[in-house]
Amino acid sequence: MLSTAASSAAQSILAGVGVDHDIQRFPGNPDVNRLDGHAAGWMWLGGVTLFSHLTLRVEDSRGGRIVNSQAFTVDIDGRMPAIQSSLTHVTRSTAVLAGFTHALFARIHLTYLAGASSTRVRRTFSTNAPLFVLVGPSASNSSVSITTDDHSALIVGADVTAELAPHLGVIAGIRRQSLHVEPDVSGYGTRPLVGVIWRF
Amino acid sequence: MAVLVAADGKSKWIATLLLLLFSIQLSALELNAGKYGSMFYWWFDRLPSSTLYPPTISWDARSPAWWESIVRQAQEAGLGWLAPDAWGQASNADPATLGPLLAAIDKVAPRLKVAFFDDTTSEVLRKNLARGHGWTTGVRFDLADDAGTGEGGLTYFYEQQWRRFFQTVPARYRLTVDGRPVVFMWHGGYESYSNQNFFHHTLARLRQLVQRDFGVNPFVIVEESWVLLDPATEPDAVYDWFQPYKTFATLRTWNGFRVGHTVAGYDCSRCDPAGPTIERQNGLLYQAGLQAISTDSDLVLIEGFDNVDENAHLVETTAWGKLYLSITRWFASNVP
Repeated sequence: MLSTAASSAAQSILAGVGVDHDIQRFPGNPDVNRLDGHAAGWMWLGGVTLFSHLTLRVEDSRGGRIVNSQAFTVDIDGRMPAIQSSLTHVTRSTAVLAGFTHALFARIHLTYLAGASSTRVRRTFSTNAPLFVLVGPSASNSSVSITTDDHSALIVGADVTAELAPHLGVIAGIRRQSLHVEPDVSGYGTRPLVGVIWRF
Repeated sequence: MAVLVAADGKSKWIATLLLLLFSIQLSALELNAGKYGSMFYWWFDRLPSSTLYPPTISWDARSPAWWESIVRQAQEAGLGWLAPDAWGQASNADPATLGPLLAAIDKVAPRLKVAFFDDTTSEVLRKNLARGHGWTTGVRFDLADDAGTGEGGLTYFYEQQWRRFFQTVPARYRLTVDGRPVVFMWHGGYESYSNQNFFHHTLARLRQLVQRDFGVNPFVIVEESWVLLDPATEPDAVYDWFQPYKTFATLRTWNGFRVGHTVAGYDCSRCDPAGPTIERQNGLLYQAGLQAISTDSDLVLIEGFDNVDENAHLVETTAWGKLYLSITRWFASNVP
């Protein structure tokens, strides 16, 4: 049984889909930070295992919306409008990883991965402040700002796969990578994930 | 280009391509720094008596440490540029004395840029002092008198102000829009200027002189009062300075270029004479102002980074710590 599993893992191709939960943290002054949060997303992955232990992967993760909402009232010449705003950001990450895999039990494999991630963070800031603050002829044609940042980062992770049927298995794992948005806001994201895989 | 179009089909394609590229170049308004910037004042040898909220740093512009602290805090606030409030030759805000700012930028924040802010009260004051009227705005400045034979003179704008800025601040330090150095001009006023309908001529002459002497066409952003006084004025953009009890944040579009302006608070109750107050409300007013203008501005002029005279400052103080630096930085980071 063990030799069969090893043999099947010797040169195998896998593909899978899953869901992940992106937990993002941006250290520093909380006044400057409305990016902390978490969101569920989904991902797909593909990979190949060579020489029994060498694993190469491509993974694409599409995170959900992390929303930070804020509201306060302010005295504007005796009026007390409620100023509301939200900062929403969405993270998409495509990674190429390589690593070492080995059998823990006959049908269960552990894999350790590291690689490079190309990450896009799209921030959307919206506010109702122009309505309450600006006095004609001042005017704002947009109360929404969208900013997109691309960056590359080191990504590391580990996962465990369990074979349920000859080709079908499940995967559970975790990924961690640094995050950066311009001009100089840095943090990190941790993504536990689960999914199903198909071995060819 | 019309000749090319007439020549043959291939030339027509080339002409179209050139036209397209030219159009793209025309529509691109490229800043060489972040869009948020602030007024900057440097006439201090001690903290003014009107200051209600003392900064944490030693307040003496004769010390290089003061300049470095200011620039460091500007960097911490995420500002892309500072606009020194220039009062001209022989004043204590002579643009020719901005060398320490450049040295501090070199040492602390090499990416920080400098815009020129012509405080247009100063032309009136300097002219009146030279004419023997004293340091007063009581006698109006005649914009029709370029030669300075009467109560005017272009020299008060150019030789005593603009030229000294451009001579002192080399191109690599200047804030630019499409490669053109940014110049702000403060209020025009019926009470301070006569023959206001000559302002368009004054501005055109200033452009010519800068182009003649420095080879650049400045990107001039005037306070909106100038275009009201002289509708023939052709600035590159317009901004609207705050007015206590009326507005603390403004956003104006001119020629498609959008300039926002706001103030974090203002308290001139200890000024001489005493002036109005805009309550800070623990930073909420500033956040509301920045939210109102940030999403739709190409450039944001904040009053005033270190305006301790009128308690409009953002710098770190014993009263609010780094609150206003943090708020500014948040917007510079998240609504760039």
